[in-house]
Amino acid sequence: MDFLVGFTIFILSLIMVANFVPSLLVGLQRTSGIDYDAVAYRTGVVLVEDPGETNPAQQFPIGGEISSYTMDWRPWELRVDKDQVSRFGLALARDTPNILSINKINKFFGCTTFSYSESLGEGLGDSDYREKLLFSSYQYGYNITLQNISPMKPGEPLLHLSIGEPYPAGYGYIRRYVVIKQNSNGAAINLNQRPEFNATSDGQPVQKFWIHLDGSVLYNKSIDTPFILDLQREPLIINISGLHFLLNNSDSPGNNTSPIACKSNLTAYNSGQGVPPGFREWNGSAPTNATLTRVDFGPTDNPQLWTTFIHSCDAVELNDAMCVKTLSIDGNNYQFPLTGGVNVADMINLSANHIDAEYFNQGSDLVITFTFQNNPPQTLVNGEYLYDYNRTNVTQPFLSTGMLEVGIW
Amino acid sequence: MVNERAQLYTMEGIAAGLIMLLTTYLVLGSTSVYTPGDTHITDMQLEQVGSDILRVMDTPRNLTDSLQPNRTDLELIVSTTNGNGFYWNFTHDYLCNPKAVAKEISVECTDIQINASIWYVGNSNSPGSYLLPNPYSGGYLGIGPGVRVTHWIHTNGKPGSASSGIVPGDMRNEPQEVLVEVVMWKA
Repeated sequence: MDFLVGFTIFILSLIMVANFVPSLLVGLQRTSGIDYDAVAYRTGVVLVEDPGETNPAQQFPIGGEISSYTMDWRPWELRVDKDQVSRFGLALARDTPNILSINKINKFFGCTTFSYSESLGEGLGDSDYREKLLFSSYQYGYNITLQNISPMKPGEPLLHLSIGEPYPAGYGYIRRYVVIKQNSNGAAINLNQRPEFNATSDGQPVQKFWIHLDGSVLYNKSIDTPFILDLQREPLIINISGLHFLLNNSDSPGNNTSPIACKSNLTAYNSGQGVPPGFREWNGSAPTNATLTRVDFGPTDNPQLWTTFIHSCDAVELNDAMCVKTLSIDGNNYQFPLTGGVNVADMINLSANHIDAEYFNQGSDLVITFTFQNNPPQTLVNGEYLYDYNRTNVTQPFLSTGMLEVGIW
Repeated sequence: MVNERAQLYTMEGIAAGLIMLLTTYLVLGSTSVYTPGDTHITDMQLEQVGSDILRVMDTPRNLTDSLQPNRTDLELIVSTTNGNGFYWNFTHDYLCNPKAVAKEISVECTDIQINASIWYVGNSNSPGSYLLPNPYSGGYLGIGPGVRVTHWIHTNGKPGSASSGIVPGDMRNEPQEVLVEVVMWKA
């Protein structure tokens, strides 16, 4: 009888415990079985705090020879082939969490094609985002949205970029606040307002105007990372205007009595009175155009050294020094290299995607030289324009604020 | 033949039952300290948002700003002890900005209250703190869930004499790093 009582108590207790055990796990149970919030958090961290990753051992042929290889250290947003990217990340650099690059944003959200040109380009697809951002064999649904809080540029509408699908009923979510580094607008050079580039002294070498890119200035350690004019990764933009103010059009054909009161010893002189030493004979009509003969690129001690390594972005080779996106003269587009002379009435616009790090780094001292034809009508331009942190020379990069949201389901 | 074996069985049964019940009770008691997953994530999100906002507020916007004494919005607010400005900057420029409406708001913007304190090392090498007062939030009484986020910033000296009633006297008037601590809670 006692045994029966003891055994019964034991069995009853065992049943009670067996009933408790499943309830132990209730707190950990989720209806979906996956912690989507954790995946959203991880994805947000990768996007906001990581600059992304490429395969540095990527080999590519030099000069068309497959047997020659070199290492490729360019960041992912500058790669031509999206298969060379191993991880997306929007941060400017490893030491700048929450500071995003507008160039990475444009590539990531597909605002620009992945390659330099439309013909080479291939946009990012669903599988790219899964393989290089979500890192899972599980087919997560995702929505990634970036909105501006302060405008990209004063007066511009706020940015609203999104990839993925609309949110379903249940999802994991994270929100991150960020700042976005905008590219510099480059150098806007109005020669009418910069008399120092007007060559008016005797003996001055005319017809040459060059932009000086000094790596030790641009990559000076005293400049905070977000404000570096980083031409290795960001566009180089040079807009020259007001050239017609420097043309030698003071020498009108009607004036034939005396040498023109122009200080340059290369100025035009109307015929009929004899040509003084140092002057050239000119019977032409009033000058309206200068003639741009060359655009060169190279180190200061050899300014034409790398001119042949400039190509337009449509025909870029991977080891080129610079891919020129636009070379526009008076609003008309031209291809590199310039062949023959091109008449310029007033404006030259040059924009390059970036300068390859092998050609431009902290130890580099480069010039981009514009050479004009040394015949009437002449462009009395001369001098060196510093591409630096002086706000009157180059517009400085600035940061706008934004909000990144990641939804996963 | 009477012996005590059956009574021993009974006592063993009772002891075993008690042990099992006690074990179950302890196990259940220990798991009950875990917060439910969703509550935890909400707190974590709010913490992340607060931490991001402080970091963004402490980022200069351009090169010129970065070279000035008060490089950032946050440094300027702390150096002028502008509690009102901090509240508006934190909530209306970021957390609840009408220009960038978040898909999900973990805490309703109208309900959220924030308090910012500044921690420093005083003359006697002991830490001290003071509150950046704002008229919209009372003090956090520790009732209900709240999150705490912090961010180190640089100040060029003791905030000016206009706020001498707020800043304690033992704060050193020299360039130093101070800790901005923000408590966010639902009213």
